Amino acid sequence: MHLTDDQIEAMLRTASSESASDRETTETAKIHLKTCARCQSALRSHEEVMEQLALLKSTSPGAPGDCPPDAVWNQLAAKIATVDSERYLDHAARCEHCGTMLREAIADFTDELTPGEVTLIAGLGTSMPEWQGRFAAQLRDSEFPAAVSHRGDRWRSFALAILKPAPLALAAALVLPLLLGIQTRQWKNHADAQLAEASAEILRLQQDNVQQRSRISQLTAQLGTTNVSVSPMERHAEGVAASFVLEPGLTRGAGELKRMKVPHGARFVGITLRFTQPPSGVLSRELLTTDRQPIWSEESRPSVDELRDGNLLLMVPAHLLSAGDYQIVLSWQFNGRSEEVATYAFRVTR
Amino acid sequence: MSRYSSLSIDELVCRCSESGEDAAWEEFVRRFHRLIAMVVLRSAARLGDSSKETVDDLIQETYLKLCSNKFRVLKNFEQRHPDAFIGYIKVVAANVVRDYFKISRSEKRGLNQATQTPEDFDAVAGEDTVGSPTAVERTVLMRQVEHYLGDCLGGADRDRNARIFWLYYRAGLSAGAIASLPATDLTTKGVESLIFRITKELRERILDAKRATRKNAQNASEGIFPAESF
Repeated sequence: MHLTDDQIEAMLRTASSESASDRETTETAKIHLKTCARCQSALRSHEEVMEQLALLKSTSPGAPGDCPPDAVWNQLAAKIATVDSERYLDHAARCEHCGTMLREAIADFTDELTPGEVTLIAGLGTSMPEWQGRFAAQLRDSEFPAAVSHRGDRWRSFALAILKPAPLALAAALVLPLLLGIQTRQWKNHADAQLAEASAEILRLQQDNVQQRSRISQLTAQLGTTNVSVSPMERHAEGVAASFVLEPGLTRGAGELKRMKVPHGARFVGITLRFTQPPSGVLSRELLTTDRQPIWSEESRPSVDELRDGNLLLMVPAHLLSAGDYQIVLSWQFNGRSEEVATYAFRVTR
Repeated sequence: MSRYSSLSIDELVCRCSESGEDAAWEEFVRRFHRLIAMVVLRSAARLGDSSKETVDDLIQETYLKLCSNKFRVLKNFEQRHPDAFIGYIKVVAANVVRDYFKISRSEKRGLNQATQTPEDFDAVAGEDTVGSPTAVERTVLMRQVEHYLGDCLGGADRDRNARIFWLYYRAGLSAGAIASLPATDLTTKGVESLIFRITKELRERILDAKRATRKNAQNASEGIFPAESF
């Protein structure tokens, strides 16, 4: 009677298996194998295929290709699932580089310590109780917020009090809406945090934009180009040393005039004009003395971004503003007509 | 034993991040030190420097990372399953070590830039490098296995089972490690049975193919050819 499939399987497993049934099966098979060339050959064929499969294991890390970020493998090894877990694992299964990284991360995270590791960790300076005590105090003091909470104890007492059936039902009716409220609040907090991050990103991009435009402006100047229109933002980047905010409307007396102290060396004065009704179309800004003598003017069609938040930034060359009183008249031009939108009055001191 | 030793992990984390009690932090360090030290030690050893000084520095760095931005990391942590925080600590510790070695290597590369030129660099190709006989042989073997594996797998879990097979044989993960991964949805025993079943079927198919090849070769030597060869 030749070896059955089960006996061959048992023989192949015998090296790694410790099960009693495998040992029993192989003992019988071994006796038969000693005298049967056909079964020896069959077993050898199976062993050869197993040896080939063992060659599939990657022995070198391989070069990274179009691989996910390295941090992914630590997360997966720590059993932290993400929406892309399956995709990443599919990749690791067929990529020498990532498969190796995943294997190493799993090995690093295995909870059992070898005796050698136990000795090494025990010998570390950070394993000393004195160090741990000192460091714990340092951690507490690092950025500790003032409030002291004992939330854990309060919740435990509360839980014990409501464990009786009647209060339990009442508590469930009260707590369920509360939990739903907390969940909603958590979602809101999460959304707020994302909004804050997005705002910070927008601010950073705007700053980048200003820097880039400033650089373009400098390069253009170096090329000797003349009559280049310089936007307020570009002028701002060139070194404004003074900036002010003006509300619309003429004031009743000189005492109420908004005062601007323009420092020496300022090339431009940044004046933010506030308005209640957002103007549209071509806007002209005119700087006048109190006796309506024009000093400087500018016309443009401001973009939506420039008018954002009800503000319009005006960059006036600083040398035009000697000490004295001034007005800025903002006019909207349409159908060949001009209509005043707002007037702003201010006083310059030097 | 301190009164904090009976707290659950999330209660302890909450006490540490929201209260200023030394004892809470002492318990935190006592409870997680071994875990942090273990991950740091292994990762650092693998990356080439497991000296006591480096490991101690990286352990401290891990704690500081957990406390940075007014304990934001701890406060924002959501306990999704009992071992989630332990997994999270492991990831933070491993990332601290990885970042440290990445920076220190890039600094070293920067310093050595002028001292090594391509002309005086004669790299020795390893046995496994692309194009070597071993690598070619392995690529052929992999294609062959891929071909037969396609015949062995079927059903709704086809993709998952293929992934498990390759993670076991190619990436060299144990059945236990595969079972612990997200998206596996099998116990260690389940993974072992699956690998056993696929391997058995694959072996049969490979042996059948070998037998058929051998038979054809034998027939050819005797002047007998299969009908389709004419």
